Amino acid sequence: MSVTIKIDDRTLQVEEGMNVLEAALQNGIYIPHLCHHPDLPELGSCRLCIVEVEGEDGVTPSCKLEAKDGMVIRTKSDQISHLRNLSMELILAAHPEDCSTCPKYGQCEMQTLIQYMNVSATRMNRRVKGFKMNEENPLIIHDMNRCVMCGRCVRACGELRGVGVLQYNKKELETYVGTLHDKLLKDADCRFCGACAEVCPTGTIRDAMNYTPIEKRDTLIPCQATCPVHTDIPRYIRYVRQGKYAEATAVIHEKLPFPECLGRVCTRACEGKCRRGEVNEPVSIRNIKRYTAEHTDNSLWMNKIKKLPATGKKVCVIGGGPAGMTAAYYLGKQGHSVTLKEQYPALGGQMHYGIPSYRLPRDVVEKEAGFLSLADVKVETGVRVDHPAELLSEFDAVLVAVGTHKGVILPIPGSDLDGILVNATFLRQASMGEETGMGKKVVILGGGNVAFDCARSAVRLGAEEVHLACLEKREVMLADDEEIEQATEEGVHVHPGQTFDQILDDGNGHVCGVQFSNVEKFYFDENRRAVTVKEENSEHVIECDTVIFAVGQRIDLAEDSGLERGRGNSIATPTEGSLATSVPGIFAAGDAVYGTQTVIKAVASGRDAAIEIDKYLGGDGDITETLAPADTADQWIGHIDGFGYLERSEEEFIAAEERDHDFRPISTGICDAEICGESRRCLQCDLRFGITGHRLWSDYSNDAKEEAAI
Amino acid sequence: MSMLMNNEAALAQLSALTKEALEEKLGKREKAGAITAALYNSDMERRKDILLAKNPAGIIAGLCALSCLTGAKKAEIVSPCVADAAVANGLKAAAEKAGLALTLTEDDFVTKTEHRSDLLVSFEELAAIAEKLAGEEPKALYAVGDGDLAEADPAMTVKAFLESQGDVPEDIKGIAVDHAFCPAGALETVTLGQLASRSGVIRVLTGKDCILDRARKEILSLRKKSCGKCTFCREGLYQLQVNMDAVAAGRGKTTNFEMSQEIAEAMLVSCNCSLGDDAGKPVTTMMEYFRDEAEAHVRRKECKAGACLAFLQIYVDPAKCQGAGECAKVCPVDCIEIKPGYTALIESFDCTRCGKCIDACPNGAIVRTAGKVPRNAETAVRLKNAAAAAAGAADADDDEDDGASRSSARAGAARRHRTLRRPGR
Repeated sequence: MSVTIKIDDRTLQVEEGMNVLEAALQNGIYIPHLCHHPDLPELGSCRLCIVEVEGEDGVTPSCKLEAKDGMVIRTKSDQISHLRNLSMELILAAHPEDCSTCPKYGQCEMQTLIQYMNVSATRMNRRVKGFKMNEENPLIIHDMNRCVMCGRCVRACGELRGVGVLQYNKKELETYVGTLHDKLLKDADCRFCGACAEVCPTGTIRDAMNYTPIEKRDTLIPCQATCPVHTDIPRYIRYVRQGKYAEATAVIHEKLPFPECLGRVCTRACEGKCRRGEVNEPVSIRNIKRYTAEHTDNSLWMNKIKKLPATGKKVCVIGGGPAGMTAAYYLGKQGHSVTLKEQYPALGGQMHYGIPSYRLPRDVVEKEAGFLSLADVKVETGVRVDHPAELLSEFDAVLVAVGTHKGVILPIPGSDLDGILVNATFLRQASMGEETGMGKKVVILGGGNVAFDCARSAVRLGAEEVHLACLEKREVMLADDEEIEQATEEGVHVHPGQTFDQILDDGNGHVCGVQFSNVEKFYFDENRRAVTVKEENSEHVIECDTVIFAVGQRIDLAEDSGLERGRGNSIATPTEGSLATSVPGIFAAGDAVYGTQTVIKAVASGRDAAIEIDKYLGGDGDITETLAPADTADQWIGHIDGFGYLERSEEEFIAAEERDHDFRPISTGICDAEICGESRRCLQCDLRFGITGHRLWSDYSNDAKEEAAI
Repeated sequence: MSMLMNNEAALAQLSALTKEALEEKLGKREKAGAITAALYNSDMERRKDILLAKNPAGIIAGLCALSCLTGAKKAEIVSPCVADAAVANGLKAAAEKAGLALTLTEDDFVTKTEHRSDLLVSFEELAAIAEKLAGEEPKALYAVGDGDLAEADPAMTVKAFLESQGDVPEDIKGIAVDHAFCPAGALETVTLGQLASRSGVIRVLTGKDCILDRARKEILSLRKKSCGKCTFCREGLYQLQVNMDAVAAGRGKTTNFEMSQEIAEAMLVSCNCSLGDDAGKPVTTMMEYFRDEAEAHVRRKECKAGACLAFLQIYVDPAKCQGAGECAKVCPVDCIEIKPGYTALIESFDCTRCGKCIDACPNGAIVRTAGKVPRNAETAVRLKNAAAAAAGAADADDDEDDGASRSSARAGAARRHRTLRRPGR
């Protein structure tokens, strides 16, 4: 029921029983306050929000008043000023004077209050509470000397979040906020959700990392920020925890079209930045993504996809890898007529012809490539295009996303012998079930993930002996530790720290071994040239009949393509921040532009290309869509015993002996029993952004600003 | 029936009464989720805890009546006394008999924000309700000093009550009750009912009680119990303590009183619980009724009651000192100098007024006074008796040279302070 109340000279219509302070603040009337917070139950202890109620003597905190019809409130009077200022003087008497050296300077609610009220503690006896700043906890700093005992953190932790880790302690007449028995946060079962830091009006409880207001979201939700496509990771993990796999997958699909593929092979930059990693171990984000994508029939998001009316424009995408497919998919949904030309028999690019099927099963690639049909993309396989400019007569725009499918062979002595294979070709042939020309004893040159893909594929193809040698020392090898470990389990001999001296001829023009020397030192000099220092007299030979070069890949596109080329023969995109090539109407994306990188980066590049091409064709370039339900996360998360010590669940791998002789998938992902527990480990760093922000006097009417200036 | 006796009749009455009948007897009450019974936070005497032990039936009857009136589904009793098994069992038995869902919590403080939707009530109120149920008018519960709690007619004056409980000292200057001070003059007119004390404990103040010292003790005990959440209670009490300590230490200025009065008056209207409400009272009532005595500490550097150490002097009466030296042995800060053949001399600057020397002196020669040290006691004098004189004469030749004293630790300090005057020859 609506009632009429009067605050100073303004008449307001508010809900009966509404908190009078909130009513004022929401209606543009500023009343200073400290312990009040709209998301928290009232405390009424700071006494800054006091007002006079007509018909009653004395003052009352407005945060404890409930609106009644006909209520008349005065927010300014001598009595109010006196008591309000006295309260602030008392608070400041125990607050450090060093505003300018406090990390919260410029972002501190208390600082704005001091500014507004223009009060200092000169009449009072100052005291220093004598607490040492506590930096022993991960992610959150406790600097109790600055505390003004507003109690917001205690209420936020206890009543808003339902965790209840912060409480009032008292030692030798000094009350302070702390944990039970002053335990470390992790031992007190803190969930590191950051609600305490979010509501603290001073620099007392603050994030260990400093940030400006613009950087705040990216600093505090680093998983989402570092993901090349900015998937809303905390949100989908929350859905997985609730068992809502359809909704979780929908959240992922808002940003990328291939969660099941990426759930197996993504390089997971997110996990590297996961804040849970500061507590114990990062959340197993990739595995959670895989699990949710595998446990939904996708109907939820499929029914909601954006599909704009036909624009009449035609786009040709050359290359059916993750970059090309992503661009085709989004362009198709923007209403353009898209034709995708792929040179090989199946779609997938590196996902089909690079990454071995024991890591990424082909049926998964096929299934997700099938989503292109939702965007009415016409797919033509077995079609190679070397002169994209010719397509401009038929299409309004062309995207070249041909990737890097040509392996690099180092020009060392013997690199032209028979039995020399190269990574891209070898993996493609293995993938297509074609003859690779591999012998019995294989040496792979190179130390990245692709080299290991070659090595482990060689094992599965029946090689008797597989060696892998690379320049880098073991600690700085580029491949994932997991790959190196699993390859070693499968019998691959790994030789780090080797230079490739020469490949030996058996006398008949065929490979019979590789000569290596041990690397003593390897560094880049001041001109950024690589310098390798060999150990004296360390030459040795590994006998083999096959050498596979796995030292890099280049674009496979004719020299006379008509497009300007850049570093490493890639397609040049001359304008900063644009994917346009040297030919108007032709754009490029993916590995073809920046060299061999990751699948997720290609997806991001594909999205960027779709945005740019859509704008080029007269669209608004907005490819965003809402696929997940519009619900808000519950701020209440509850207490979990031993939360900080919950261990990370890993995916389950088949034992080495069982997996090394065929290309069956080696991982079954996280098991059903552990998926909920693993998603529960997430700190939900995004939840704190749902807490109402601080209201400062400067947000209010000009009257407030004028008063403060006096 | 007495509130201090087990009121089983009240419990019996309860079963017969409907809610309407209860409302007629006791008045209407607002809805509440639960009833929480405890002593007021400001009550540090905790004398009324005894109601739990002596009148469990009455307590439970009161809780049941209130539950009926407010619709509360459960009740809680908060007191350190529930740790006592006998008390706890008595309450639980009565609760079971009455069919009341009761929790016992061992604590001496109620955090009001944890009971937002509960009705908070004191044990006395419950016992009073039980009296009404049994058809009696409840009396007032009071005690004098450490004496037992007694029941008295609320219309009785405080003076009459004091007299009923024992001899009232001649030099009574006022009372301290619930952290506030009341002047003697008011005692003949104020009734127990008007006093409305939460703790019920009246402590008599005589000429020997310094009002400032009492106020400081109250402030300290309030600081110890304060939960620290309210700005005015937490910071205000700290400011009051610092200001009053400065006065008691002899460093006071009138601004200390002005500041304290301003803060204390604000505290009366700025806190959330009874402890906060009372926190300003030691200073406000001291300034209202005993201002002269308090301000004398600053204006006349005088503590009339002789309690504030900074205003005391302890000196050796040279007429009585026999040079025994026992005082120097017990002095914890070594501020007593005894040269052989001379009377003892106390260094006033370092003296902490602990008074150990007074007890140690076999000749009763050490005096504590609120006034000034008499002139003749400002220096050490030659001892009059022969033996000491002989020893003194023997040393007299060398005492000219280096002034060495028997209490060796003090030698350097004595020279530094230069308060000792060499006895003239």
